[in-house]
Amino acid sequence: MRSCPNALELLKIAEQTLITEVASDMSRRQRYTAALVASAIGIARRELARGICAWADELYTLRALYHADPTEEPESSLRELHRRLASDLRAGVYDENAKKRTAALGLLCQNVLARLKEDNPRYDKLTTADTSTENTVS
Amino acid sequence: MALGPFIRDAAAADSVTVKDGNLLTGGAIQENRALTVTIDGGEFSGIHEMVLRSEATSPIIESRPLDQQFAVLKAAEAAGVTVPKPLWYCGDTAITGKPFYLMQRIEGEALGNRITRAGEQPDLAAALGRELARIHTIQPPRTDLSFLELISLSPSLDAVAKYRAYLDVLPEPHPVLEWTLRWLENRAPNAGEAVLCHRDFRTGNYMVNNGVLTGVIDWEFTGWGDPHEDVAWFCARCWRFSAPALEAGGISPRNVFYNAYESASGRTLDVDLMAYWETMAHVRWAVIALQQAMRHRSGEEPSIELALIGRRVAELEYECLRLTGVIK
Repeated sequence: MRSCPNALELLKIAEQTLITEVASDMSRRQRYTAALVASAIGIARRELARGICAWADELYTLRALYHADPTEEPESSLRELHRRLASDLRAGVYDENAKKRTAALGLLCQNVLARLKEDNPRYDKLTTADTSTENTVS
Repeated sequence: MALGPFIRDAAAADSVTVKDGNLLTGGAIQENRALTVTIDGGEFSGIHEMVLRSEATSPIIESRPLDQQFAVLKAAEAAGVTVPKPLWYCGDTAITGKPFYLMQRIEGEALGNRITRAGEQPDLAAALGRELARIHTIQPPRTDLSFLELISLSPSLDAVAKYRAYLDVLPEPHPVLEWTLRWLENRAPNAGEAVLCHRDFRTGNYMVNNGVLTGVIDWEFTGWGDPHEDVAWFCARCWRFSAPALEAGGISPRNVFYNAYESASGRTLDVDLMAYWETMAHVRWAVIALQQAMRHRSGEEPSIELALIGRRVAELEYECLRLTGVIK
């Protein structure tokens, strides 16, 4: 148990205060820098709220794709499975098997959409995104 | 020797005074400093607004050394491209601590968000199409540009290999970029016509004054390549800033830019190649963004701006998935 407000609440008020109270008295260049700082705080706040996975079923889906040990330490397991996925995509492992490719590409979609919500929630395309995946790769 | 005596000798002047100005915004890789230079005597006699461009503390791998940038800028000027006039290059680090070159300072605005907030600008887009065609009149072989790497039978496969090599030195895996590079590898076109590609010809890298183009800037990534690469880079979603619906650089529909380029160059743009190189554009910018973020993460150049560039990668990966048909 820690003191309150908690870390996320503090980051939120720090971000708001920087923009609404501090930046208004700054020069143009300083306001630009303050906006960057506020943006960094906002991203950190959204990331911390999520935990180690970018989206809820990320680790579960990766483990299912690779039949990985569910008792392994989550953070290192996540990193290792992403590394394996990247390596397999490069090697063309998913070129031929349509079912596995659909699963892998679905995972990539979920990952990117979740990271976009953290990194740039206003990215315009996010609102119209459809995460359906293609099945044909030459 | 200080900067003043260097300019005095380079300009064959009697005396020179230099008034140091501000660090100009917008140079994430190179540093640009505004100078007011008063020259007495010689052909440059008068007051000149100049820019001193020097190497960043930790330049990224793709960035060309300043002497090569200067040579490319001179070649572009000679080809009739609208550029800030290149003046003098200096490789002696005793003068300012780093190699640098001086060029004329041009009037105008380069910030992408501001330019694209002005709405549709078809005349500017057409002017840029013609400028790009002018850049693409520079073709190999060129003795003055002999430092540019020769083009291979498949520039696209060369690019795939290069970006994979860049990814291999980064600490984290990047599955979306790996997927996209595999997609590009499976569809690689053969080499077409080789031209001088600016490789960063986009909104944010030209100056505009009252709606009129005053100069194409930032020549640090140039190389021989397929002309579609530059056209696609200009139109890529990541360079439309505040106006994503205006597909040519956030300033006009594509056809305005394409038509001006095609009329001026005599080439017909291939739709499939445009889609291919536009996908490559997003991979390339994602890899550069990761490298930029590493300049901060490595401790070489702590910077909030560089740190945040690393958090732009999700947008670029989103576009990669859209362009490869994964996200509809």
